[in-house]
Amino acid sequence: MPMDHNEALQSNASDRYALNLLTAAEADAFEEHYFDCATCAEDVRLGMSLMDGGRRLVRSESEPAAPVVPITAHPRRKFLAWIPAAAAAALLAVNGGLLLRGPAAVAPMAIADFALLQPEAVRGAEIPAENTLVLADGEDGQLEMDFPASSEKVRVSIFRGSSRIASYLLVRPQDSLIRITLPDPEPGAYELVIHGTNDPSGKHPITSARFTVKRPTSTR
Amino acid sequence: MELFVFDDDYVRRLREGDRDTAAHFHAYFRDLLLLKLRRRLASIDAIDEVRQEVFVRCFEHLGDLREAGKLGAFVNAICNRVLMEYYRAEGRTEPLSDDAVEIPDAVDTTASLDSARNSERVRRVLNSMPQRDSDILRAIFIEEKTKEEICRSYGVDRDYLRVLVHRAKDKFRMFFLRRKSGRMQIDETFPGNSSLSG
Repeated sequence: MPMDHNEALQSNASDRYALNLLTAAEADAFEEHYFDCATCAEDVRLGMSLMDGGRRLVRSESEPAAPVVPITAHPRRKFLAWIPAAAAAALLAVNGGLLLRGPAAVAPMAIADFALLQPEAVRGAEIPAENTLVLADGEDGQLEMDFPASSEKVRVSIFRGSSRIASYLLVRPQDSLIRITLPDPEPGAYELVIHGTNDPSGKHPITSARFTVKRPTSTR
Repeated sequence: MELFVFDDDYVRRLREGDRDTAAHFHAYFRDLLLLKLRRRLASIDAIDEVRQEVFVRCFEHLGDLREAGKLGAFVNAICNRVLMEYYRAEGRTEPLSDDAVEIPDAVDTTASLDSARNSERVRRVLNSMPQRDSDILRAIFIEEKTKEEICRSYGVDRDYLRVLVHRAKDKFRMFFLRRKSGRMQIDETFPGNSSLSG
């Protein structure tokens, strides 16, 4: 049962929500309300910004000053900021622009075309031979493969060593291709794993592939 | 984010796949979902996974929405359903290990609010408050301190913490509004020169 607006105001629900002082039942009722109440939603957002800004401020005050690093012409993006181009494309097919304001808005970059998997490998659930992506220093790469025939929605995870560094939920786009752009990836060994979304345990991937990023001129 | 009321026209445009409407929908609910989910999920990955699934299902089931004014309730209900499925799936597999737990505190990398500016605004809010109140708020921001510890240390009750947060939020809001009105003024003076308005 959602909280009504007067009740939310009188009980100061927004402030108590920000402070995590509501009981679980109160929080549920307040959430049911603020998802539909523009005023309370705005108040909740403000509270969130205050708490997040405060946490960052307090942390930055307690951390030693970061060392000064030289500014380069092409600042290196974090690996986690991989552009989920396929995600954007797939979601665009569903909703027309969902992720346009997100990572896909990053500036254009050099692309090295790289066919990661052949369609037969996807359908056959075989692990193909290792692929190598050779990139010049500072160059980005693109993984491209057919969308698995068995699913309309898949989760693509990319691992480096044992760490999952990126994960995208993809809906089949009109051209049935998965494309993931890797902005300036570090050299090393990676693995891409695709699960159907009807496999929540994640124990039965549709397919997977290992690939290596090499940079012949890399000084890293 | 502006105060916004969802109407039939908005939902129609959403169903028709209008890009601007879809982008607005995503921007409007992205933070609200994050707020809800981070109270229930322990890792950024899990939050991201559930949130993506919620958006996908919202678009898949938009045809089931009967009343445009209930769009928020619709999104919230889908989120609850996806969360239940996520819990069930997690229950069948391994729980998150302690070292996998992260406390997500930022909106996300595409957040509309600039984090550095945000922290600066909080600093100004804190500087404008009496020292003791400022100290209590700082204690609240440090995640390791429980509310009980803070209340005990400063000899206040939980309601005082709420009042402090409320006051800080009001001042914080003023800085937002000031910046917004300043930007409008610049836009009016130098139309078309967006570099002056940032």
